[in-house]
Amino acid sequence: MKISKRIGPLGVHAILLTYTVIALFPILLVVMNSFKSKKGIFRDPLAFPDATTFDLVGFEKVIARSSFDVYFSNSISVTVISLLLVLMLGAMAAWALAEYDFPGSDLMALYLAIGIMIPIRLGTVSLLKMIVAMGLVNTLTALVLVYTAQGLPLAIFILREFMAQIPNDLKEAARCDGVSEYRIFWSIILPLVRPALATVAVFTMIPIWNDLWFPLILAPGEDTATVTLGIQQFIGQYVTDWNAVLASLTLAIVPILILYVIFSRQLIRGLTSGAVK
Amino acid sequence: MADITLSGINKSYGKVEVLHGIDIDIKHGEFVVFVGPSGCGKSTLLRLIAGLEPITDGVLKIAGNTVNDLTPSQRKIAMVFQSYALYPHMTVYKNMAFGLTLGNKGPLGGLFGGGENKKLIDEKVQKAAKSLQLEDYLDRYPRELSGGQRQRVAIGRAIVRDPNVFLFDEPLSNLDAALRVNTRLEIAKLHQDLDATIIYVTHDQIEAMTLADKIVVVNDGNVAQFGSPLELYHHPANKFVAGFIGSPSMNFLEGTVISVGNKNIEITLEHDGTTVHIPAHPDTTDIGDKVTVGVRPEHMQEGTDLSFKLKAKVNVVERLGDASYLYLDNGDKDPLCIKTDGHSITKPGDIVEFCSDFSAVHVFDATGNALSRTTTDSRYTAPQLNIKN
Amino acid sequence: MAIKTKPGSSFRTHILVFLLPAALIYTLFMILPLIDTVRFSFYSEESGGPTTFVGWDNYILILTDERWWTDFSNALKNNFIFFVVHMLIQNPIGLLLAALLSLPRLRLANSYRTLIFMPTMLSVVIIGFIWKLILSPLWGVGDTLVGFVGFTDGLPALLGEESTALITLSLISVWQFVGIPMMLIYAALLNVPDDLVDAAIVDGANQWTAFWRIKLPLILPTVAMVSVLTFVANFNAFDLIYAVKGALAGPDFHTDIMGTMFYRTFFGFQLQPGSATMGATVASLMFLVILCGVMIYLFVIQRRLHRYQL
Repeated sequence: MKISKRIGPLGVHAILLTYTVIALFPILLVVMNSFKSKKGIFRDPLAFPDATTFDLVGFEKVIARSSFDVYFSNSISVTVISLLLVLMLGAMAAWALAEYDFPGSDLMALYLAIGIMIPIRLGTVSLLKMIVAMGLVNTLTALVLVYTAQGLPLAIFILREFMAQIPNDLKEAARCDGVSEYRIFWSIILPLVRPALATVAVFTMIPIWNDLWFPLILAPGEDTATVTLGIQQFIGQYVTDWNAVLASLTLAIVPILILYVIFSRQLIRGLTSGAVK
Repeated sequence: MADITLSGINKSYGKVEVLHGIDIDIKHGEFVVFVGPSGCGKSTLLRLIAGLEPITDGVLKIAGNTVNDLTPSQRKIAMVFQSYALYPHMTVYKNMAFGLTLGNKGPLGGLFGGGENKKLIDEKVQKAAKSLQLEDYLDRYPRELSGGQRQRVAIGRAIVRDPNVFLFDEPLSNLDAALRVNTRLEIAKLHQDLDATIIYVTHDQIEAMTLADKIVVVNDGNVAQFGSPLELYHHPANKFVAGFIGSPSMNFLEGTVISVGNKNIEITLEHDGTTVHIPAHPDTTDIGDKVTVGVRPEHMQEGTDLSFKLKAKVNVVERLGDASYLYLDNGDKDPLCIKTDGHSITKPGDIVEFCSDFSAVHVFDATGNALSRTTTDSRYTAPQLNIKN
Repeated sequence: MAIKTKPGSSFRTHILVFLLPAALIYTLFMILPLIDTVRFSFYSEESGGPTTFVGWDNYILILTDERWWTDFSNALKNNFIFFVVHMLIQNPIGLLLAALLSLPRLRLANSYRTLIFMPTMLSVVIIGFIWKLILSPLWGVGDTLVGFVGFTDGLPALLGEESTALITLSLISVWQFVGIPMMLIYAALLNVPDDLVDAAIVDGANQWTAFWRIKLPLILPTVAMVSVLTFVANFNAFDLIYAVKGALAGPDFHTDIMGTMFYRTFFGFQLQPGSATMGATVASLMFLVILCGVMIYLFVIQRRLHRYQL
């Protein structure tokens, strides 16, 4: 069907293209300029780095003056471990709620869903006291526990909807064969909800990686800082050194973008397969 | 009322051509059914006529005007979808009135009005609702209706627009068997009442045979044959149509030509090695060519009275009461089927001799085209029905 | 869905095994701290001294004391402005982009979608800094850009001016998060059967009309959900303001929102020492505001909206 003659396909592409440029321009600008010398940055910010302006001095400074590698490994550890916990524990709880009819299951589902709407940060005062009491200040463990708690409600909600749609026949057949409930969950159910797991993974990962609040409050130490916290402090410290600032931003951006481009197809498929209604 | 002409219609998606050179001539008031197996292109063809897909090549004319570039409503067509496609958020009344409320003035396309005036719309909707016995349901929502009722609303929505052509896309496939027969009769009556041109798509050849004035058999993007139901039944133009129309389907026996005469062919059948002399024009067939012999189960009978004789072992007998179907061994090919008297005592394991009149025997050459028969018998010829044209 | 108990087994332990770990972590690290924070707001803490129960005193202080109330009402007001900007700009743009992307047979739709969603992937902190640089008068990129469209005077220091700082920050946040309503609405639009749009077109509608009168009414539940999520996220916001403007949310508290006020109250800043109990009070008030919004959504909006079986 021809797209409305009023706007026309040309108009549609014009709008989309314009917005794409708006969306990408700032990112490109920063990445481009991080490869330039200070003169190049200021003389002509909109130009690509060329022979005269190409300069890796920014990156050199960043690597020399900060422990970006530590920040990265911290972010990766926290994100991956939290993600695994959220997926595993969330899937288990979602399965219990979707499959088994027990007194109070609806109430439990509601209880777990409340967390989607209520931000976990509001409990920070007590959280900090508890973390201190447990002796976990400035540890990645504290972050993992908090992020897991944060990610569980949405994960359980999405996975439960998905699991409720699995046809009964599969489960009945397995039970007839005498397969244990745990085995059913692990070998049959989990593989079937893969698209939903992918969606949940993305929705969980991004806020954890990008979070500033909890690293700032619970684990601000130099050796437990995440990339986000590290960047914020680095820039705060070297705010007048444009090369270093741009380079640090680029270092923080590029890994995520690469990961995103690789996994974007999975993400879209998960989102649009009805996992989120 | 409108004639519809398709000339050389091609449709491609990118490099893939799905419809090849379709030529069909539909006279106004005819009920034409597009029938064919899944994926043959019949629904695509319908959507092309509707205007929901662009035509890659060829000319489509409705009422004498070339409509290739017109929108569906500009072509004055209305369509009943397989899923009914009723707007869930509107009442039955609003569903039927929707098309009439759209104006062509204003930037929001009728969001705030435009279109015909309220009184006129009300008249039209009430009239259509009355003819479909929907008056009591006008305030209900689609989710509150049964399948049959929803279908009537879908038809009502089409009637209200007073189109030149009605398009039906497999309307009965979502109904259960009992409802299907009833609705089929209703649609046939609708055709008579409205005196409208109807194009109807289905994969069910029984619907095609019972409803159509003319049938278009579509196979793999081509028109396999275009004619009245009985023409297709008695004079299939190719093996595909022969096997598609009629249930149980026609028996096919492979064979090789061993001699050709002026008005007959001698064929050795693979079935049992016997040789038969069939009165048919050889056309371009030559000695050594492979051909297929076809006979319908209902044109065969037990015994040896008739001209075309065969023998085979019975594998399965299905007794339906007024008739029995014998399924006969045919080597590793599909079993042969004979329709015989309900009182027949033939049982599985028996060797039966059965026969048919040569006038009922079809021969298809290696490309599948039918060779013309040289004998006729009124029992096996399509009668001339007085259909308004 | 119900499972019959195996004959002889008294209790289905596997349910507990499946459910307990998640419920435990969730309760311990999310629900209990929340409840405890609210409880804590009813106490007062002398520095180094004992905590005493003071009932509603903290709340009364915030709501009536001139200094506290000025700060609090300012933060609340700013947060509402922040929210309104998102509702008026972010969600309509997200809706528009989703509508365009879901048009049938749109070429390059996948690429557009992937690229437009990119900023959402990045940390708010990073985004904040990027825009700070772009808008910085020192660099001049902003001046060059508006020079292209004819403003030869260049750009005022948007982030530095009292009158424009909050709106600018709101727009930066909008710029980053448009991807989320876009994706959610896009997914909802995909669920609308093509048949319905085809039927509308046969009835005489064009794509534009079909969108307004067929698609949009059917995805209203999703639009409502996006709105309430926006509300919650906006009243929970902190990172962007903190990264760009610091805890003091200048200039002169014009970019102060609930989150930054909470942080300041809890940890203290130049003008006053931090107070856990007052911080808890601010947090409880934030909780109340968010709760009100969610309640309105659950009991007023969601009830009215019908989720159609598609």
